[in-house]
Amino acid sequence: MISYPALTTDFEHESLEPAAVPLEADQICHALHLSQGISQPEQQWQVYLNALALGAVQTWLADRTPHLHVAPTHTPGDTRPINPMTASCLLDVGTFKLCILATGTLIDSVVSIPKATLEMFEAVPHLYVLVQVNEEQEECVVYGYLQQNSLMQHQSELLATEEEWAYEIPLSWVESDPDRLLLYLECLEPNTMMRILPQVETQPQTRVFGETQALTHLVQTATEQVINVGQWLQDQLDQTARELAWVLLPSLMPAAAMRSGNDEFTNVLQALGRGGLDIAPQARGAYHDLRWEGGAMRLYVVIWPLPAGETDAPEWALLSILGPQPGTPLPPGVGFQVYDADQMLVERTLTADSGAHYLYAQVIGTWDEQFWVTIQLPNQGAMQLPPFAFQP
Amino acid sequence: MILVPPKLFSPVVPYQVPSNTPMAPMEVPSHYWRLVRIDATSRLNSVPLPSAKAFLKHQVVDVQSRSDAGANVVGYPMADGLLQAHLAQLIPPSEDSSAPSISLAEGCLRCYISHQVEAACRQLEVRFGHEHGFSRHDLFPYVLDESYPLYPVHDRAEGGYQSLTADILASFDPSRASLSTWVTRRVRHHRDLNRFLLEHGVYLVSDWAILNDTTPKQLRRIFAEFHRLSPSEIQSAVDLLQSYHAVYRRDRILHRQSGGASSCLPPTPEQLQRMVQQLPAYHPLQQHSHEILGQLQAIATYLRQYRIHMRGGMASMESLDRPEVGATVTALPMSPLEADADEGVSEFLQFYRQQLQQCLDHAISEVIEQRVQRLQRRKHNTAPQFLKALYLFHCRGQSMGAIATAVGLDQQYQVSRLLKLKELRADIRRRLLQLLCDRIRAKAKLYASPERLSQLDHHLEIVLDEQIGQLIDAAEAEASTAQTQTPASLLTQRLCRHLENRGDIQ
Repeated sequence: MISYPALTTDFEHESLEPAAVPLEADQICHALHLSQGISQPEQQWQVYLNALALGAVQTWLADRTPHLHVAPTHTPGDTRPINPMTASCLLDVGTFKLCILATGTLIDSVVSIPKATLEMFEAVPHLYVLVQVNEEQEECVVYGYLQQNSLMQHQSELLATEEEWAYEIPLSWVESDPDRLLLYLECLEPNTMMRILPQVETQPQTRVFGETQALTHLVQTATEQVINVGQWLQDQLDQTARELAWVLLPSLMPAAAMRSGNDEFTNVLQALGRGGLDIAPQARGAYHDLRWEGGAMRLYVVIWPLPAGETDAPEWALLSILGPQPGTPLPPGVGFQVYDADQMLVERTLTADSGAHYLYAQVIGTWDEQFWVTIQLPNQGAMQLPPFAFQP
Repeated sequence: MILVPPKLFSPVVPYQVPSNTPMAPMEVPSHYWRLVRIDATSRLNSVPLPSAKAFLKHQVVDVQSRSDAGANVVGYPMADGLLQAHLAQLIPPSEDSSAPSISLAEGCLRCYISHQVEAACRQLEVRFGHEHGFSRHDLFPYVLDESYPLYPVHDRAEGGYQSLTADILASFDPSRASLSTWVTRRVRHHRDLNRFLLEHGVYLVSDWAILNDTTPKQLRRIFAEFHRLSPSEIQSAVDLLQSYHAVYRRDRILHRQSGGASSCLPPTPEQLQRMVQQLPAYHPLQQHSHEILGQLQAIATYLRQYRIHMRGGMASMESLDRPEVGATVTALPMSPLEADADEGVSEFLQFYRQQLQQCLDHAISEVIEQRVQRLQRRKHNTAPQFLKALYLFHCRGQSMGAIATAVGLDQQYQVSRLLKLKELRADIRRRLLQLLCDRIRAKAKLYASPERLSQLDHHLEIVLDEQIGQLIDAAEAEASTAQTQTPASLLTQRLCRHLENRGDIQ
């Protein structure tokens, strides 16, 4: 028998949430009907809450962002094999895929994420949206959201808590700002929340049809051409760089040569150095000329290893500089982005009134990390370069 | 019928009060001989009971004389718990039906309880009354239902009326809480009182809803980590929760499908019976099945306490009357982007400040129109009320309470619900960002990442909330007549201009 709790006079009453979304009678009806079809009793209530939450989010979006197209990902006639628990919480909003996480009246410090949304390629959402369902009062509150790539940054912690059909994550990972979610849905492209493909399970029982796509992606990245900038430290260009007509620049040492040099590259580096950028003396650089129908420009890439200090893993720095080819100015609207394997790290664009002649950005990573640079052209086109790796 | 758990409690046991508790020789606290009640006109009275007072004086002396020698300190009031325990002992047991009228000891306790009932109502008023439009006087009729003269607790014909106060006394168990705590809880959980509160936007989630929404896994974790119950208690609770789910949740879905009401009712005896049947054979409740309701309520109370703890960590009450003044506009939020990113953002904003007002006016107009159309399509068209309330708030600087009266709503919180100001401002900002983006294509890349977009939104929020004097010329500031004490923000000023230019606000 359970011992009776000591009683307190803490206030148990709450104000009804003004921002709560009321549930419509037909939404409740549909949710009840859906749950009736669930044979597993433990899942029945969760599916009921999921369906209520899904309906509430649709109402909420219709109110706040009426121009976005919103529809459940899975309709009754859908023949794609998917767990009904997961199917009841997926929503397409514009070009985004959302997964609705429904909780009830118990405010808890952990939130459950359905495993299937991370194991099935087609079900991987861009955003998880946490909704508190008050079934008794027939209303819901949109609490906040979690980006899928943010979730995957904690991937190792995630697997440690796996159990049954869901992972559990701390509530603190969820951003409690539903207005911000609306902002993203209306103003961003889904690829800015690039979905990270999760590690594919190897146990047979979890093999699902999405695996082929996941494998294809892995194969592609494995055989992609890579420029090994580590070889530049030995005064060499690897085959990929040579084939793409990269030009290796002479060493920056001795320092005397750097000070007296009037070549463009050293001028730029000196300016950056005066601006506070700390470039190691043993850094090496190379450049690559780019040409498109509107003009030409030059991409410099400077690399150097970082002294192994506080961190265990040694690191390297990649400095990208986008500048004009001698004689022609850099047109406004050009820019570049630097990505690592997961997401965009940095972005630079030349504006009409900025007066700058160069755009630059520096990133740092461990020796097993690669970086991708994409050039933005003023005509909205883009050039994707092979990734840079550091394997001296 | 007043809901009480089955009477498991042992008879009233005197408190073990520390022996050096000071007591006053002649102090007779009026809480124990004045009865708080409402009269026929619903006015609050405090009725003196002289016989109770005399009785009490005698009792205090009696208790005093039995205390330890070193404890007498003149001027200190007697410890409540000691006096209550003493009085409780003096109430004749229910078997003694020869007692013609209520015992004086019981009368004293019921006086005390009536004061606590009044205090509980006052607390609810302090916490919720202003925002939700009620006073303690609205609550009194539900819970201050004591008759005068008092009927004894034990004098109860089948189906006869028993006041809440009497019921509280009958159910009190000192091992669970002090009497004042018990009274407060009984008042707050009073069924009809809560129906009134719900009508005014104050909600008490039911035990049964909490039990519905808790999984066995959650229960295990919360009971182990937060409440630190023993493994056998936890297992007992989990088994009980599962059998509750198997019966109550399944019934509820069927009940709701056939159009049943949404409020969760307590389980019926028949449901409780079925739950017992679902329990494993070894479960302790198999031997004490009459305690199942109390045990379920105990689980719910534990979960409720956890819920309050969690809510306390998440709560943030915004001032509703003047959110722009109330909002703390702190330093620019620094996200971990390089310094250049910040430059790019402020450069963007500077470049578009002249465009800002135009785009802002468009955004305001569109968002308000969108909201009006949504409201017009609803069953009760609240669009005219919405516009009027919005106007009174931004252009006349009226309080939520005054606006409620002006637009024909009962309570302040209904105005908050109607206006949804925080959402309105977020929608305007969002539309503004889209319009600014459309205007100048080259800037479109600034919206490419969530981090950059968030930063822009933050900056915009600050720009729109900025005091006017910082944003436009001093001359212009003098020309604009501020209706309120504090200068209005840019957003308020433009919103007001838009509303005044509409033709359709009465």
